[in-house]
Amino acid sequence: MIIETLNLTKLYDGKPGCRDICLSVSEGQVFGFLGPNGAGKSTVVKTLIGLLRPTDGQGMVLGQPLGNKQVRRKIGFLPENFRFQEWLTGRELLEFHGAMYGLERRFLKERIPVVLEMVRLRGREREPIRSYSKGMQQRLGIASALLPDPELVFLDEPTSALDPIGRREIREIIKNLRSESKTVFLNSHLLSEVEMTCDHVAFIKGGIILDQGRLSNFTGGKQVVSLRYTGSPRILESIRAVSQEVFIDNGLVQVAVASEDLLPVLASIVVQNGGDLYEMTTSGFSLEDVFINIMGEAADDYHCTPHLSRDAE
Amino acid sequence: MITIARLTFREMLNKRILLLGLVLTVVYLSILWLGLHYVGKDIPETAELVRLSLAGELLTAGLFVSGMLVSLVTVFSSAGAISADIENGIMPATAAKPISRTQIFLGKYAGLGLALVVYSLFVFIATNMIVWRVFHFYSDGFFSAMVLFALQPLVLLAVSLWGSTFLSTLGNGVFMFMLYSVAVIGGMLEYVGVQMSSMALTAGASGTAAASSLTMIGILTSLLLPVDSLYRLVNYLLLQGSPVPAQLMRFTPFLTITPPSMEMLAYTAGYILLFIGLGIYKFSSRDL
Repeated sequence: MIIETLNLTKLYDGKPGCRDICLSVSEGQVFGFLGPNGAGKSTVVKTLIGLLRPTDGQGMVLGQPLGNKQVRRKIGFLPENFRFQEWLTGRELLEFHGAMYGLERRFLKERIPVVLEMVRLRGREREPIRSYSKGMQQRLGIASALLPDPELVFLDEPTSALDPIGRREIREIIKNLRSESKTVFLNSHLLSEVEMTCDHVAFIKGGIILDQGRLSNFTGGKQVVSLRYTGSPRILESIRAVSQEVFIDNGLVQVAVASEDLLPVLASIVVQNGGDLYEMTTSGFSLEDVFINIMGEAADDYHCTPHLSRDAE
Repeated sequence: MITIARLTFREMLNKRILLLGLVLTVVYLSILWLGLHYVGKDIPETAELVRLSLAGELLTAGLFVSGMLVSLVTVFSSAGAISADIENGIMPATAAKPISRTQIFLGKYAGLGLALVVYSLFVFIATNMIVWRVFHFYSDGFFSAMVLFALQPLVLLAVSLWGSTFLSTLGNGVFMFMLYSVAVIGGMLEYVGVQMSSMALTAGASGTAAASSLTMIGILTSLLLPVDSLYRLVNYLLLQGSPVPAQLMRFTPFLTITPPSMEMLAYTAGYILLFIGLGIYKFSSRDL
């Protein structure tokens, strides 16, 4: 395993940053870590990298305990809300970061143009960072994370400052990393990014992992049936007996179904319970539906217990 | 560590505080030179003792202001050396690299320390040059005094970097300025206490008690921040070869009658190491 944690917990003055985090990320995975703002995503990443000391639990990254200095040679990290020394030029910053990684000058001379090309900053590297746009600084941050040709890359909200073209380029970079069997840990609340790039996901809210597993197990083959009807509460109870993933959005009852066979069953539930059915439509099951469903289900007093991931189901 | 030190040194040269400090230093040195020039030109050639006495007094006063400039530049350039990097998001990208926090801390200390030592040497040499040019006053203790003068920012820097690991930039700046002020006032009170004893200004037991209380306050503040005691030693070394002893010079709070002991110098060295150690410990154990 590239990353493995068991009940990893970080408390800030007694208040939970993250609690009982149990993660397993294997080599070559592009792992999406999803949650709303303030859910604890950055806390988990910073704890994995060693910037935060865990309050409890254990973790291993690249086979070494958390905080191991040597293992950081193989890790690239793009922090959230980072800033660089703005008086340096882009190239000087990469040389500085390369020196901190302990990379040889000869390697850097070849590597810097490569990473600049990857993030489309070639030709701008002699300009001071203070003249860069926010998006350019973000891309420079990604170039810095890729500088040592790392085995594991942590990207914390990498597309937050980018325009649609920039986002697509980052997606391409992530796909290239996957094709090179690199492991990517992607923190994001932009679900479309995760859906297009990740193969495994975990959902976090209030510092607790609510669910995790292979992305296709959450979305693959499923459909959402939207129902608009009037009738007794018994209809909803009967629908819940058919599907466990039911949520209500703007008066529409949305039901996740694994196959089309359930469509007539849902219609008959409404009719047989004396209801009037006004609308019944189907659509693909997106990660956003999964996200809303999982986050909506989670009560504030939810307590985490180590659970089986969807891979094991 | 060398990478961090090199970057910190370059960063220091890019900071406006150093530029502003240099401009103010040039203004101060110009005023000092003009002032001494007008004082010196009216002293007759025959009044050798008056000239030397004035030279000693004005040199120590000039070095007091020079020391203050160096101290203020030290405080304002180092108060946010670590805290500002944490506050503005630079530190996570740095600390996530395969270098220890000890290396980061020591690199910062070395980079800032080098810049501040160079600056303090410039101020010290310039002040002495002006006094030498006007009064033809040269001390045999010049080089020893110069080394001790350059040690002053290193003392302040050790405390300031320690404070920067857990205080905000503003909080640390205020804390350091207050600490420096306490040390300077304490040093002056100690000098007054010594003068009261030595010049027989004390009348009876109550006067002696007051003098020893003032001296004690000075000693305690020197232990709290041994910057003023270094300044006193610098003064002593510069004037010890003068034919006009400090006791005969006029009553100014800048002179040194009794120099700090060698134990005080050893204490200062230990003090620097202690605060570097505390800073490393605090920085290494904090969350980023």
